[in-house]
Amino acid sequence: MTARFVYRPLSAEDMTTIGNAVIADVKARIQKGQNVADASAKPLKPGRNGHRGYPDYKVARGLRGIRDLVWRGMTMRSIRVIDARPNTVRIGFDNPQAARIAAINQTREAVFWFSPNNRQRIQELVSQAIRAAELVRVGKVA
Amino acid sequence: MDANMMTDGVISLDDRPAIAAVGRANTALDGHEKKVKEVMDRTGKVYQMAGDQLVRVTDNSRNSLDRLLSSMQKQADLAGKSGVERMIAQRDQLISKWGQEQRAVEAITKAYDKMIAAEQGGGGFANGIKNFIQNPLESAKGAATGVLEKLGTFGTVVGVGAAGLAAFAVAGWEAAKSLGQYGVMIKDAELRTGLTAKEVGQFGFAARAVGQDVSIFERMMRGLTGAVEATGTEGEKARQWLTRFGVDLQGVRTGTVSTSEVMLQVARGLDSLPPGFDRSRVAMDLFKRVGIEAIPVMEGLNDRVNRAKQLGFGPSEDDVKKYERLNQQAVEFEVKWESAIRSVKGMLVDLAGAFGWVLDKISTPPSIPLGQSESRSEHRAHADRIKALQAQGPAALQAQINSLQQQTNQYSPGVGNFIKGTLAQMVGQIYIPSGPDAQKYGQAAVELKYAKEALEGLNKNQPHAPLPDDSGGSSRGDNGLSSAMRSARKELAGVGDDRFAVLAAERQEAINDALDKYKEKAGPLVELLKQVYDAKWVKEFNSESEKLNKELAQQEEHWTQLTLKAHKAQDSVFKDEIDQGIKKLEEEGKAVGRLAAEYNKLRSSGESQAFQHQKRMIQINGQPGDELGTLAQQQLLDYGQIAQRRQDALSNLSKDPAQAVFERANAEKTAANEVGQLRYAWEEKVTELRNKEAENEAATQKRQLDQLAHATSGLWNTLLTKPGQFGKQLGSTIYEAVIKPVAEGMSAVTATVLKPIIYGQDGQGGLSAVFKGAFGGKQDPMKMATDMNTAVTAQNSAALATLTAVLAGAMGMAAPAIAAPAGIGGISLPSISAPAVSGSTASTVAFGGGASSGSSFTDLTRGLNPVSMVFGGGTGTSAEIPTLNHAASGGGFNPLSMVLGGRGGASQSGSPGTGIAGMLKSFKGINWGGFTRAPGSNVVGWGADGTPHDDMGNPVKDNGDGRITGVNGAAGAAMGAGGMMLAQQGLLGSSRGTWGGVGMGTAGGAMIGYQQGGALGAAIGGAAGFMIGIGEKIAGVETPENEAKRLVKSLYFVNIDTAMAKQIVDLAKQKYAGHVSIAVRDPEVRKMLELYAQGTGQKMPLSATTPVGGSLAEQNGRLYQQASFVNGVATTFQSALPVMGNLGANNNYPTPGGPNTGPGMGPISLSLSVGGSDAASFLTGQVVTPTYVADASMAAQNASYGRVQASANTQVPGLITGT
Repeated sequence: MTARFVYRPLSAEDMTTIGNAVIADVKARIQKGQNVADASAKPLKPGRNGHRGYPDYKVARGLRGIRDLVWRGMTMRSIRVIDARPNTVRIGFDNPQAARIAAINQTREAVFWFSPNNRQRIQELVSQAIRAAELVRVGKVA
Repeated sequence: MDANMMTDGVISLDDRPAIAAVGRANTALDGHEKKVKEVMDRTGKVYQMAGDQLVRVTDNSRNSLDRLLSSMQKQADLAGKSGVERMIAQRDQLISKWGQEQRAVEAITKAYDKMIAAEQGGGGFANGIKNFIQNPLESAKGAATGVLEKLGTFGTVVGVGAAGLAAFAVAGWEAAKSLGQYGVMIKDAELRTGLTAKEVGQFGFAARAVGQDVSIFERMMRGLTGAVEATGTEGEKARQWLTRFGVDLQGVRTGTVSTSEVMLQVARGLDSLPPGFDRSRVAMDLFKRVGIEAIPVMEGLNDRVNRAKQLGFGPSEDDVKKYERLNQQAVEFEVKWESAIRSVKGMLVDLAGAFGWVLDKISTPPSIPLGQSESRSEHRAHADRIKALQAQGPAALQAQINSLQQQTNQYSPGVGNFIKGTLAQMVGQIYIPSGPDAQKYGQAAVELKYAKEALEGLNKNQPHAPLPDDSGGSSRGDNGLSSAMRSARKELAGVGDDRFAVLAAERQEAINDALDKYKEKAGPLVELLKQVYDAKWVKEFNSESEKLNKELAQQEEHWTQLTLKAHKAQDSVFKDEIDQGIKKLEEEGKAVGRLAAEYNKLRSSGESQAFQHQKRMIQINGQPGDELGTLAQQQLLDYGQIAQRRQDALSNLSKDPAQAVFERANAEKTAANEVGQLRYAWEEKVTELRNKEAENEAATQKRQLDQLAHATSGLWNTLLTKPGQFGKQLGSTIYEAVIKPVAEGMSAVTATVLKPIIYGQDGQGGLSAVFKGAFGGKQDPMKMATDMNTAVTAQNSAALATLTAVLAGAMGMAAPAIAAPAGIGGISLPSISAPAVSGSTASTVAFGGGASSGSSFTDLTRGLNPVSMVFGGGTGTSAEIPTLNHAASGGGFNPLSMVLGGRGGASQSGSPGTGIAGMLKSFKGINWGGFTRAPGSNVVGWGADGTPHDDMGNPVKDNGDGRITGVNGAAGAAMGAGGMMLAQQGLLGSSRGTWGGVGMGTAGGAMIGYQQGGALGAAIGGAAGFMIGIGEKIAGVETPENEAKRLVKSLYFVNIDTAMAKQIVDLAKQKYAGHVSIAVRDPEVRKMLELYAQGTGQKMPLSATTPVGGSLAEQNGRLYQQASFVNGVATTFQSALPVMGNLGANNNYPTPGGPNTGPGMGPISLSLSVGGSDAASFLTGQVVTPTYVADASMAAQNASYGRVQASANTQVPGLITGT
């Protein structure tokens, strides 16, 4: 028996934790009106011919007149960790309607999924998880 | 994947770099370990080399010491022992030394055999004498034997004394002679053949192997040399053969080609020739007449020489030189021995001359003077002394002679001394005359002899007579025999390198000389010589001791030097390697140490991680909100760890009592500190939870206030900006604030109840399974339809029963008893046991549960006896028919118990109770509820099993003095339900918008809050209800019924009840889109109100829009109005005309109102057209003034203009006349 470095992947629980943290990060970015490039998303189409537009309705509803994908909040609430496996986590929508809304809005302005800042955050989370989980440790192998 | 669906985001970690890194790390680790091993091995080798070197040095030193000690031991042994053993040892040593030289071994063996035989045979007198005179004393053998025989007893004594010495002398002489002769033979062969000493041995072996000896090569060389140098045809023929055999003739002549090489080349050449005549002829051509004899030697010569080389035969040049020296020494010894023999003869002659009677027995008279028996040194001393005497001159010498002659005569020994000496010699002792006379006689005799000799020399005028030539081996008198004897004995003693033996020999010889020379006068000289030699012996002993000490010191010094050298070797020779090794060892040791430390760290980290994992799992598996319980379980592990560490520390206490006390105290202190830290953590957690709870409460209140503020702000905004939408928004706000949570809560409760109905307890049954089976199964359609129908019926009944039971239980009412068939296949029906809160009547809603039971019609018929269902038993399969307190094996649940917070319905399964007893038992199991309290003051936390424990971790019973945090069980449910109903009635029901509604809302909220959170909850709930009620009050929220009441009151001055109002509302919903304000003006409503007013004794003014006939009558010149009757009631118009008969005078028709106003309250509409130049006056306010209006009115009346209309306006405002 000799001491050797052994590798084990991040567990599904770890990846779930990472996924939830990333979801929060993505949500925060989108709610700030930023697209997938961490830039400000293009403004919502205003009303024409004296009619109110979508941003006006949003403001009247007490919301922000920006492209933050919030009207009822269903879309953003529907983002969940769909699947988590060792070293892999899948993020998606648990509501088909929300998924359709997201897809439609994605064609207008790409806001999903991971911007450079999100990726950096992912990297940090993974690093933390690796340090916490001791991804590489000294174990005994035959 | 639907293209219209947003694709998922995937975070996938590529672990290949990590795996590769781990692989590289492990490879590096392997390499590191390998390097460590190599370094360790190399260092070990270095240490081993150093150790070997040290061992060798030590061994050398030890061997040196051993040799020294052995030498000393040998000396000690040889001092006391001599004889066969000593000879055998010496022989063995020599044999071991010359082991590879067969002839030398033979010679040594032969010589020592003789020596041993001599030693062993030394006891016999005749043999001793015979051995004594053996070869190499052949020349003196006969004379000595004759002399000894003639000496008789004395001769025997002399022979015995010389026997020992003779034995050694003979042995040494034989060995030396043998080796010497061997060396001489080798040397002769070298010189004669040109072979080296080694080659002589090897070629000698080759010759002996075929029965010849090395001399054959000598003869062959002789013939070969002649052949090479011959000038004739024979020489030419020989040279041709040599050339043909490859011999370099020029090299042979110049000496560059060795003889051995020529011999071997010739041998190979001869071997190449066919045996027989040709080979013999060639051999003879080359070696002349020796050729035939040489053929056997030459044949196979190369092989035999090579074999000899392999065996290492042949002495080296050094050996040959050594043999030569031995031979020379042997020859010298032989010569000296011969001289000694001659000295013995001379001694015998002297003895014979001294005693006279011996002379005639000696065949040859002594012809050599006494002085000729001296040794060379003695001779030189003697010559010097003679010369000195001669220097005095003849006269002086003559005078001395005369004086000395007198002295000798005076002190001459007598016959007594002679007899004494003879007797002493016979017993083996030496008699030395003593006394001054003897000494004086000896001195005078010696001096007289010298003086006479000197005088004779002067008279003859010739030098001192030379020493006699012993080479001839003559036996003339002494002839230096004494000197030769002394020399031989000294040599003999010197052979053993024994200085003491030499001294003893010299001593004895000196005494003998003295006795020989001075006869009886030699006594003093002998004494003196004894003293001298004793002193010499002492000196030699001291010298030897000093030498030994010195050698010891030297050896010690040598040892020290060797030790120092060894250390130096360690420090210098291997210093670098050792330093490097040590350095590498240290480095690798550090690396290994680091690795070990890292490993230990990782291992401890692993253990810590496992421990942390346990704690984390406790955290994960802990009950949400039960942080203290989780912390308690975690701290249990911590306590275990602390106890383990403490135990470990106490188990490893030092053996030093003082240190142990210190370590024990330290361990206890550490454990106490760690326990204290856990206590602190516990207290901090408790404080944190308390603070968190307070914060949550504050946040909840703030959130509720914010929600109310947000809702009311919108309401106020709408009220101030769009009053028309206020009511609608108020409704939606109330819905959002109150109805929605209630609806969601009730939906959750309903879903909980319906879930097992629809999906079954296991999620696989229920209606869902029924329909699922309907589409996917292979069941009989008729059976399936029947089952479905039955199931749906039962399900409906169950749902109704469930809801009924729930609501009844919530309201404290008894639910009706509904009996239903047992379980339907594929349906998982709940077993509902819904006891009335009041306990007066038990609900007996019993449904079969489980998909496995009652799937057939026969099964369905089971349990149809309501009595048996209610009381249990009665049927053979009652166990499968759930009753009030019996659930089928499929299990069931008690929704009410779920609502009331009691035990789950699943607990009903199992052993069923029967009859009233079981029913009562079921009642007994109901959680009737009570106050929910916070942990008592004595409860600090909970253990792993949930039991409360105090601050010391001991389980305690809650003393129940905690504050009330709610009401649980049936009481709580009742309170919650009652509060909910009150609030709903007051805030959402018909009482909304009224002070009663405010009160009910407040009370309901307080009840709900108290049920949920105790006093604080009651305050919050009450405040919320009150605020909502006030808000409704402020906002004017009212129900349609109230609105109807209010409008009827205001329009018709009639108070209607709620039923009537609801009727109006319903009519509004049917005909006027829910607008109550329109409905109240509906003619039907008006008629209905009139009837209602009349029915309730109220007066309702007639509507202006309802034509009512009037009647005027003139009587006595006065105009009267007559009452008209509406619904039999005399009614009059409000007018200045008096009522005839005063009938209905006090019951006037109401003032008709406008379309949008109440009767008598409608505004007068006036249309005004201003045009032309009047506009300016109109705009300046000069068009219509009160004065103008009054004047115009008066003018119109005076002119009877519009008199009818004016009258109508006066009498019936708003009445339109036809003209």
